[in-house]
Amino acid sequence: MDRISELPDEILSYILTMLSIKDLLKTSILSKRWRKLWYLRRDLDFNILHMLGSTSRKPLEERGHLNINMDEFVKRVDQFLNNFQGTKIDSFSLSFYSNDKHSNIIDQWISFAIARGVETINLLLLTYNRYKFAFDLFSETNTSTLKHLRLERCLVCHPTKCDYIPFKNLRSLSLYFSKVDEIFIESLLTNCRWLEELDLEFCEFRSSMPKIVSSSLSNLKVRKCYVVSGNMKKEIDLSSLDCLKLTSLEYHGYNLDTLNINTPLLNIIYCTVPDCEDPIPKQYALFATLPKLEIMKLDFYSRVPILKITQPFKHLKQLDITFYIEEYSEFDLLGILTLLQASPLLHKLSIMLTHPEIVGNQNVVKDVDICSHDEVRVIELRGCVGNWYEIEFVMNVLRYAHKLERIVLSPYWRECDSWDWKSDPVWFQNGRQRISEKLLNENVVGREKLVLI
Amino acid sequence: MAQEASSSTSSKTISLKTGDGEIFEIEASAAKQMKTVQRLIDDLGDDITIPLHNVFSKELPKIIEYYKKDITGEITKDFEAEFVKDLNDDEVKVLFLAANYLDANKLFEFLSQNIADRLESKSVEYVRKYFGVENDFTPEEESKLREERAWSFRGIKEDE
Repeated sequence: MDRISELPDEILSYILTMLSIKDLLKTSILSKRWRKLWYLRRDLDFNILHMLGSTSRKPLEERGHLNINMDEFVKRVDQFLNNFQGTKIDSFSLSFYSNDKHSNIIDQWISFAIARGVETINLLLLTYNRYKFAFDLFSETNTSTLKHLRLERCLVCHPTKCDYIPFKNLRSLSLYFSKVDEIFIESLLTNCRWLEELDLEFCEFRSSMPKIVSSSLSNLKVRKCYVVSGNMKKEIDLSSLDCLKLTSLEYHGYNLDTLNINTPLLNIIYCTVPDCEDPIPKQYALFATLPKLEIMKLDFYSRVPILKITQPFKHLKQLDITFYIEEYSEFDLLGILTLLQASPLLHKLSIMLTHPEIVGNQNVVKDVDICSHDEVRVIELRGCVGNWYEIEFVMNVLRYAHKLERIVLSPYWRECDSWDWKSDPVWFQNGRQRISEKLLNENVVGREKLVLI
Repeated sequence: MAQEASSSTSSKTISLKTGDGEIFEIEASAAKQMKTVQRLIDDLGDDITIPLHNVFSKELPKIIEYYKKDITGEITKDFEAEFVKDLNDDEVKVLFLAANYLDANKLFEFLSQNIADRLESKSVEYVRKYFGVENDFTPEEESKLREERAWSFRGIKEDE
């Protein structure tokens, strides 16, 4: 076989699956056989930028929409769908700047996909007035094919005449910047017996946060939701969480005090820690009750205070702390030692300082009195540029983490950080130099475990 | 099979003979990823040199390189980008057809994506030539279709 065209249809469909919609349509004029091959495509992704020929990699939300011809986009999608004779659509994704006059046609496109058994729908509709996603587009016969629904900037309405259970087979639901009635979410949670993932971010609810009660949910993400009362946005927090199968929770709210949870299998928590005056924050007490909690990721917007944690995190194996600090003048890292102390079985501690700066006033480093930690093996400090509080933290932790195998210090704080730290003279001379002087001299116990990137 | 249970599977090598008569060695665990090769091993035994009539000495080493990385679990986006960086469109096509013949799924899917990327915004004539497709439309039929779907033909890159 020396020509790609000699391959059978199913093999060719792999390449067809990976072509852009524009290139896919082009294959329809290669030859008479190819006129129909493009119908094998089952994942349709209509993104206004790609369809109008833009090669920009910037996401839709970041581009101004002044120069984009929305009517042309609508015409092209319409033409594509009018010619498409495939019998099955697996996923239908739409991203564009819609406005009210497009609602009907979007409804038609979604109906087109529903009629072909669509299982995944993704809508990103950047528009001033939210597109109303009408569940009425589904009928009893085809409502159970939908498995994954992701809506951004939509208005989600409860189906009006519904005497059957809609979306019985829904596996994941993600709502971003959308407006939805909490009763509807609660009814979905009750009726969708296979719902595994729920994502509610920047959503507006009617009067309160939904109670999250589900026997199947395993991943929950909630971020900054609110209600509108008298033209004012009021922030609301998660209060009731009762999910026996939940293993992962990501919560970025305002207040963790009101949280009531029944999640015996919860294994991973990722949350934003609100600024708190109280030295015994209630959320730590709550997390300490979780019998399977092994991984905790915490985002801080200010320094970690020295905490009095009375109940340890008995099973915690990994702790990731990320700092989003704007002003480093009152900052230090010693509070983390209390979290470390409260996690007796911890294996790995990872600290990330985003947007590191070399602080003007380098304070004197002090020793603190702490008990030893007999488990932690690896510590990473990223975004470390040699400031005094970093050196202070490292010196203290080296003294008391007896089983430590290595402590990695790296200035890189992004996964794909291309900044060439080694060529920055200020960092190299001051920060890196300081680290070497203070931490690599003979007096420092455990200095052999240091790994400097 | 005893081979699967013993820990010496990973150090066992299989001999592969290309269509142009050259012999290459590959680890048994890598050979397993190529279903055609594994089927031949099942039929002929693993001590015999396995003949691969449709794969040649130009492309087999590259395929072996890919699966060597795969069995150590080290295939990353960077590795894949580097892997195809210096290959021209025809070389990728040959590898793709070989991966199909060998029933080597992972490589096949990766190369499908790479081909799709390379064909992005190329002209219809280029794609016809690349796939080896004979145009059986009359000029009138073709121009009618082109007119209807004109927007998909805008923004074509120059052929190399």
